Amino acid sequence: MSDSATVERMPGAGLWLLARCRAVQLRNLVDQHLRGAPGRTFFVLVLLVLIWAALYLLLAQILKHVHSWGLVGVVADQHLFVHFFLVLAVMLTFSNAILTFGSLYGREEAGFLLGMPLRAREVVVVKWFEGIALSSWSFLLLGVPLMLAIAHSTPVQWYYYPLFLGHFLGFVAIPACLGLLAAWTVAMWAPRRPLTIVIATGCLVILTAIYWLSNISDSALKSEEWLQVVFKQIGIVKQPLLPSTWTAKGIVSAMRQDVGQSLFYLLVVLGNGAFLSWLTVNILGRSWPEAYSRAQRGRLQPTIRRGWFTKVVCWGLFFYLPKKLWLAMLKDLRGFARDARQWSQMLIMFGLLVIYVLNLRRMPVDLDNPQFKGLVAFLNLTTVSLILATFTSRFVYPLLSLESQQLWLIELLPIRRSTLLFVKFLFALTVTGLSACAVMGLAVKMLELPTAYAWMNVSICLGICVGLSGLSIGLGARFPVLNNRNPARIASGFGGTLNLIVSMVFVSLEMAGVGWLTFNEMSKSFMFSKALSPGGWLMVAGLLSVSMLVGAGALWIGARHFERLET
Amino acid sequence: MRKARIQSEQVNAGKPASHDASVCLSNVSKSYGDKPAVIELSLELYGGEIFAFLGPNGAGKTTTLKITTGLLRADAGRVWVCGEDMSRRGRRAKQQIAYVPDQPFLYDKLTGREFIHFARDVYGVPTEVGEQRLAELIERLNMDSFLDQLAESYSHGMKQKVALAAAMIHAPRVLVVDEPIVGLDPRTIRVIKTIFREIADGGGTVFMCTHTLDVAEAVADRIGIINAGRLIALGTLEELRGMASAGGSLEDIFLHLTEEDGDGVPEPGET
Ligand SMILES: Nc1ncnc2c1ncn2[C@@H]1O[C@H](COP(=O)(O)OP(=O)(O)O)[C@@H](O)[C@H]1O
Ligand SMILES: [Mg+2]
Repeated sequence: MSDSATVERMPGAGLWLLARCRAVQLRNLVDQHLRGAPGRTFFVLVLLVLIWAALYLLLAQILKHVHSWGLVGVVADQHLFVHFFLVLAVMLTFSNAILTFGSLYGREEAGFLLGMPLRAREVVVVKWFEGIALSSWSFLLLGVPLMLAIAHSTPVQWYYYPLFLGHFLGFVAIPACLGLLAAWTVAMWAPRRPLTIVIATGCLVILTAIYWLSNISDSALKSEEWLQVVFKQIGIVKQPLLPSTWTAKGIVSAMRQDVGQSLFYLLVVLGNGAFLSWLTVNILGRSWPEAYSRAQRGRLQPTIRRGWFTKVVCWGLFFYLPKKLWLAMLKDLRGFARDARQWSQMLIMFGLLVIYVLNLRRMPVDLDNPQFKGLVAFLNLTTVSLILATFTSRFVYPLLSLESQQLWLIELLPIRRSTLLFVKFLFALTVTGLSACAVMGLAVKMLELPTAYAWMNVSICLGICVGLSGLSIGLGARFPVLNNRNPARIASGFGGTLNLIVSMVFVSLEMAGVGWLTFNEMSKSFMFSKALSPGGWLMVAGLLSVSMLVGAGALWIGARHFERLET
Repeated sequence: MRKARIQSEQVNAGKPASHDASVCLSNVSKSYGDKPAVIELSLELYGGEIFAFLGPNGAGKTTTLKITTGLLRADAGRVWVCGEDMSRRGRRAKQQIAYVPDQPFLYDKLTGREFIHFARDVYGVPTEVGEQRLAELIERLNMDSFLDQLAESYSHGMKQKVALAAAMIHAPRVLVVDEPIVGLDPRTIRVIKTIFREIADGGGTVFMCTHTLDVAEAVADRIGIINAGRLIALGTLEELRGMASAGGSLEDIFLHLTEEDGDGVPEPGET
């Protein structure tokens, strides 16, 4: 009665079926977007291209500046790439680990696949491939602008392009495998506290970073020693034989038209990637069912205490609000405090930033040189803004969708809907503003920026917080997702993507202005003038008004839609 | 009697107790962390029967079903499906079995039809045979109106229908269903009951769990009652009536067997 004769299919047949299933899903997705909302899709694509262009310009500017330092620039290239790929590897490993933990050990798809007569190895290979594909997105987003920016600042031959592509794509296999292995380790041995593991690993990364920074330089540096330290530092990075180093060297060789050396490093990276992939697929292919079963033990649910702490914090931060709004705020604050995913990401990101800022003086960069100082201050603000943009898109944006799903509840409260919107905005602004200004304040103090520049940095940072919070709340109310309660899904829908893109464009715009300010004001005198020029002040005022306008405009659009939303 | 069977299994461990059982659980235990969910459970199901697993919420029904289908590994004990050891020859065992979970999973970006085709191909059902079975299922489960829409737009009941159709596409010898009728309309419930009966009449086994007693009462050939991870009663409806000495309906038997202390739950009219 059953077709048991067919069970011994050719090995790999399941792989083909799974791959085809993915392809059909992808086709349906594209089809749905193209047919259902061609205008929206087009709009998102245009904005993506804009971001991409902004990134290209930013990178090209940085490289141009670095190269204008002459001999130092030659060394700095390698230095830059080593760190770029190291950071990229860490980020890709983290994101792959989190994603595969959900997809291989979560309740949904994994359980379904495990119940079918598929080989575990076939499923694992498909997940491996998905990891690679996902990581390869980073090439499209970051790699291509970087590749073109390098080509713009250095004369290159045609073979530089295929070599760069090969290096980048060969490299991403390694973090993809590391992510799979990390998720597997957690599922096998610590399935009850996946979040704790993520936080602990984050802390470990931070500690390594501290150790690293304190290792590079043990004393305050004079400018002449800088070059030596850079050499020494590259020496240190070289020694552990990290894949990021091989890729960086391979790309630098390709830039310098040394094809042989570049190919050599490419083979090293590919060989290691292939070996690691083989290992990963074999380990996971053997033990995936066991790991899945182990991961199904429930997560530990902490019991909630009475919440006096959040009450005190809420009172401290929002004592000025009327009682009704204060209560609405307390609800949001508690939601935030009890969702560790939200603040732990903020904490890790800003923790890293604080450590970096505290170590600014020990960096192998000559901070007495106003040009360096300006560049570092500019990069600080850019980093903080980008982190804020990802945070608001991922965590602030879904707030309004979740709230819209329980509008009937809001209707019972004696609060106007737009007031509620404003409360959420205030909440987002307080969280982002406090953390960002703390970090930026510390950074300008460590950099010993002149007062005018310090105020400029902090106030523009605050302006960016206003703009980003307004965008996420406003667009969140304008494009609410009403059929899904998963914040990650809400954030990755159309409105969420739009919000992320608009936020990025907004940040790029602001940073372009700040960049103009910093470099213009400095290059005139080759040092910081005491105060900003009238043109400079005008620019600051312009940037701040853009922030206010963007924030207020988005809030207005959102509030209008939110008021009219049917219960 | 249950004790006796367990002992006989321990003697010839490594073989299913009886070769004709289509599902055989032997001394299965499973705990989540320190919390036991299923304790030393032994059970045999045979071809041609509908078996209903009854128990209060959190009794361990879903856990048992997941162990049976190979989703979870038991901490101790063995599982055979159609004579194949689930932990050693899982793929052969899974080829004979199908599982419809209480929260069915469908790919959001596949239509119901594409999803069922995927299942058909994974189980290696020839296309024509699969199409024939699918046409019949579409008609009986009334899926024609939505089967070509993306699954993300489905209601719970639609998802359940598609998951059931995908599970039936390879004509499994054992159909394992978790809470089959939650969220379905009366007409569909009737159809599903009929389908279960047909599977059993064709020599297959239906292993379902539920906490709604009247379904079990209406369709099950045998009933097992599980409470706090232990199988506390097993038999036909008549046998259970005899065991509980409560007489009357399955509800009385169930409440009698699963009550915590001697008092029982008063009838609505009694208070
Ligand atoms: N993933 C899990 N993590 C921790 N405990 C679980 C998990 N799944 C079930 N349990 C516990 O195991 C017991 C049995 O659950 P389950 O088999 O789902 O019961 P039923 O299906 O009979 O309602 C319950 O006490 C439940 O709380
Ligand atoms: Mg259950």
